Amino acid sequence: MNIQNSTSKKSPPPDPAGDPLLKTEGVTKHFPVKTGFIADLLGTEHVHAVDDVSFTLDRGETLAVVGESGCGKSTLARTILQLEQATDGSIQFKGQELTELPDRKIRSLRQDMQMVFQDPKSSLNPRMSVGSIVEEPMKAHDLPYRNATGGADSPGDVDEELVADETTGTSEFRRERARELLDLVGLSSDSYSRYPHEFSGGQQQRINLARALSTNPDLIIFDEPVSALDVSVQAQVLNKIQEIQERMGLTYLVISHDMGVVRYIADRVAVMYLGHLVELGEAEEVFENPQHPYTEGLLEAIPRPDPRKRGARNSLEGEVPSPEDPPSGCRFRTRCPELIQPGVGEITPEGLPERVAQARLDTYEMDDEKWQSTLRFLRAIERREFASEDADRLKQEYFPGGIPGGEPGGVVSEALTLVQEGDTEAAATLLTNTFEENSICALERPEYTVEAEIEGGDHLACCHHCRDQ
Amino acid sequence: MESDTLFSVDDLATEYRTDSGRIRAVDDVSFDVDAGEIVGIVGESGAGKSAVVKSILRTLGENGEVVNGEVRFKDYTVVSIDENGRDPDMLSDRELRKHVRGNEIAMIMQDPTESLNPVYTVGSQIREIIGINRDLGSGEAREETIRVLREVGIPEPESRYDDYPHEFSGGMRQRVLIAMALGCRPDLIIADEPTTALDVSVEGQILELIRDLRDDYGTSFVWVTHDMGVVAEICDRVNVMYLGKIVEQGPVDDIFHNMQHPYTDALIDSVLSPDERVEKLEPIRGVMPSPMDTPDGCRFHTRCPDARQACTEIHPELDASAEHDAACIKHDDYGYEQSKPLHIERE
Amino acid sequence: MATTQNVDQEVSSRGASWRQIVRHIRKDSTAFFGMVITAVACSIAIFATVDANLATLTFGQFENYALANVLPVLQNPVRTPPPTELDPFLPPAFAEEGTWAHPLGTDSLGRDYFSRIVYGSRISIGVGIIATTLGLVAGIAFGAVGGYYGGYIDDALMRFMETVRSIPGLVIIIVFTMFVSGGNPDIRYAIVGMAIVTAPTFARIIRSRVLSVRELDYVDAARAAGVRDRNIIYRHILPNSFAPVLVYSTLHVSYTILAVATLSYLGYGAQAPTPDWGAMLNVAQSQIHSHPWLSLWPGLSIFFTITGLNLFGDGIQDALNPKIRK
Repeated sequence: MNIQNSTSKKSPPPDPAGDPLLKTEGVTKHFPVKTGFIADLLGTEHVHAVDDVSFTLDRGETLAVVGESGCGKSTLARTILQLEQATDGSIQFKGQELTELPDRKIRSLRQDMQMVFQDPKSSLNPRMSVGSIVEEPMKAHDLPYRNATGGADSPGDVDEELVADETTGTSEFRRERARELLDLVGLSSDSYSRYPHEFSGGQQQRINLARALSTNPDLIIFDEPVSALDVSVQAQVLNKIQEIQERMGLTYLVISHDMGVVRYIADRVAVMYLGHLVELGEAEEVFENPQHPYTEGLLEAIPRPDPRKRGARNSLEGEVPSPEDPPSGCRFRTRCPELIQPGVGEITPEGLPERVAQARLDTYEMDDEKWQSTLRFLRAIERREFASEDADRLKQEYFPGGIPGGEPGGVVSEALTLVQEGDTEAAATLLTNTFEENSICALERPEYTVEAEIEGGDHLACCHHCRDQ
Repeated sequence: MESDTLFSVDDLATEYRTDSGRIRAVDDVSFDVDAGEIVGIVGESGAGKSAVVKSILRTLGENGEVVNGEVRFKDYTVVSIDENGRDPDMLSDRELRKHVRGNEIAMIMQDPTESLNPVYTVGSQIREIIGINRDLGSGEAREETIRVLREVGIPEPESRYDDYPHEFSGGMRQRVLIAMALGCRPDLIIADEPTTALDVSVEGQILELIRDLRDDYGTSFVWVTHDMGVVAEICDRVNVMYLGKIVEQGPVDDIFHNMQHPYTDALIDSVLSPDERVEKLEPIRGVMPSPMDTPDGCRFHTRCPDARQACTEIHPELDASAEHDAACIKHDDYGYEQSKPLHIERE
Repeated sequence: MATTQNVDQEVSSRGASWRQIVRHIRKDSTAFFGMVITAVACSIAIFATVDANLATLTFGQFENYALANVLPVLQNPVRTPPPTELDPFLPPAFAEEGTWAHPLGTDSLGRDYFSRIVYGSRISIGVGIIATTLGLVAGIAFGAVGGYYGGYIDDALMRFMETVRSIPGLVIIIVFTMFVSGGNPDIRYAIVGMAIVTAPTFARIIRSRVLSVRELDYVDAARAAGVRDRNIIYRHILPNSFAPVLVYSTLHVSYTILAVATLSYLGYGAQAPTPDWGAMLNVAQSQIHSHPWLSLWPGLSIFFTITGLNLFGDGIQDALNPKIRK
């Protein structure tokens, strides 16, 4: 295993002079909870799968979008590929605005924008031979071209790779190309006439890759390319994916939940949580200098293959809230161990909701220790981690240094009383409204660019702790 | 069986009948579990881990059959088969159900949706199992259920009692399964990939919970997984499986820092770590062969970077009673040093 | 016996493989038996002729009885012996007074029953197969399009299908026949009418399969690769949705045979003198005490054909059921 200390890039440097290959701005995708025309009439709740995601992707680079289930990364990928209609926002690919193109044009652009799916077992039609699977995209786009000007819908420059001369028949061309691609991805060319079920998981993923390459695309989106594979096969497949990227000058967008995979393969990393982008930067920067508590928590939570590194380090408590009604401001605030006290941090005054303006208590100026205790207490009650309990015992457990003074102390005492009486529900509401809803983390959605410390480039961090950097 | 060995498996062999013949999915597997110990069984897909679990609990389907081996749990003979057939001491199915399954040995499966009936509330399912296995009245069983739900970290257990499985998130459902397993106060819990389908943050919470429960109750675990990180996090002892056999067994620290078998070494190396920047990972070449076509001699020799000629001839044995041993002739005296290296083609 | 509900749920979601089916049928003797009977019945319907002089079964040249000719042939009246030889109500050959010239006896008009049974198979089985096939094609079209596109298209198509299904089948067929033929009922209208009545169930089966196949990754992959919708339906969705359709078809043919019987009896199916087992059976019921064999032969024919089809259909269903497969 070679470990390199330099921060050299994994893929050829992106083309700085050119425009980005893919540019998304404010992409939003909401799904209605109830469907059908009655629901359309009466209105329905929406699942906020993706909200306001913006990033660019330069040619030749690999951007990884990482997050846990429900964060919206797969929906983002599908929306970019136009498998879903974006509810809002713009998606520009090769300079063209995808959300405004007619279906016909989008279909022809699909040549250049392909996807490799997660589960090889379900992404390959079991009744089609490997050869026909790999050829299908070529067929769909009437490739090969017969002359250098390409077909009527060809998007700009024609790939020479896809032009055939008069002596080569169409099926012959496709067959040859399919065999070449199978060879390129590391499968024997006699795989052409066999069927997917005859291959192992890793080999099936290679078939998926060959299919994606058949139209000579510019961009390939990988949705969890190796999650379904055994650990010993993952590296094989990832190595092949990288090799092909270098050879063919491809651009990759990789969706994954596996930070190890991401670190191995990505140039830049975007971290998503509940539909929002919470951190974005060069890979080394994000891994060595994470700025968002969720990123930190995610990195901490991964079990390491080393028993000497065990220990209680799980800072990610609680569960992801429902995407139907996401928390206001920073969506991670319901679980964040670094929630900011109310009153701290200037709030840009546009459109503060009325009740907040009225209920807002002035800065508490609790010292950090008292605030941490209060926060722990708040979280424990939110999660109902105990039934009705004696107030004194709770005080001892959560406020060993004594409860805070002044107004916050009053609220805490009241909460303790409520819990003692068994009304945990009221206690939770009281604490949440006072301490969480009034925090800047709930009032304003953070979005800051910080100074990169490890590796150059922009480092986007959506956490109010980064405000003053 | 020694005094604090709770559970022992000896020379277990299981075969499956398929259209193309009989496959030996488990070949000569032996291991022990002591009281309060968490023993891991780790391997990739096709290694035979699930087959071992099903053989132990006698839940093999129609096509599977234990052809040899002994499984003992406390005083019970769960499985005892040799070439002469079933040993009469072996528990009958009814006795197995009554004494062992669910009662003193509980199971946690990977997919909660399979173990939880969607049309009954979670509370009623757990209550039923606790009631039956611990012979409690329905009121007491309900109390116990709520207590155990709280213990596994389900907030507001009194009201969640009446919720249906689909109203829980994945992580919560897994906790429900753990509650169901725990409710019967078993001495041994067999867990088959219980955290594989969960997010990393949830997985961490569950692993912490398991450790706490083990510390509080002294429950032993057999933990089956393919994830070396989970193994390092939670196991006391580890059995590494490859193609139906255990190739290395030992205390978890030895397995990770003092491994003897090249497969264990390669497996740990293959894990992509988020902690350091790796330029290029050299994977284990090849794929695990099909069990229909097991290589001669050492089964791993077709992929082993340290393979020698002797490896194709000698079938290395594992000493299951040793503190730490590997089925590899590198460390035993079988003429490994003198033998020629095998040239394995790189992929 | 399997109902449509069973068919939907139990059939393997992995998609049918012909080899699987053939292998299972060969192993399962009941299904094999069913297949043999079905094959025999179909061959008789397609190829057989009866030699009027000897009242024996012969198999004529294929070109004379090619399926393309089936429709016109269905309308041909049975050959009757010249008037001088008419001899009504003769019992079968093995009874007293029976003769081998009329091995199964004669009916009330003196027509040879054996010939009528043989030719009757054409109507019963032929209509069953044709009507089922037409219904299947229509049903697939509706179900696949509705299932794939979803939304309002799906709603509209399915509401239409359900309306058709909510009206009793016979009523639809009779009304359709009278409306279109202007008072001249004929077997052709019965066939189309049966197809209309059959289509909704096939539509529902296909639609439910399409809905599940549509969510599979390889369909998404095809869309992402730019494959046109209609090609996705042909190449990816339909082949993998076919299994339950296959099973239901064999069962449905049996149902059609019985339905045609009722129609013929009511006068909306095969018109006299064209023989149809069901019609013959119905007519013979009033004379069951005096001339029991008149009901016996058509009854047995219906029984064997339906049983054969059902056993065969069950066999196909078992072949596709992943739990039963060894």
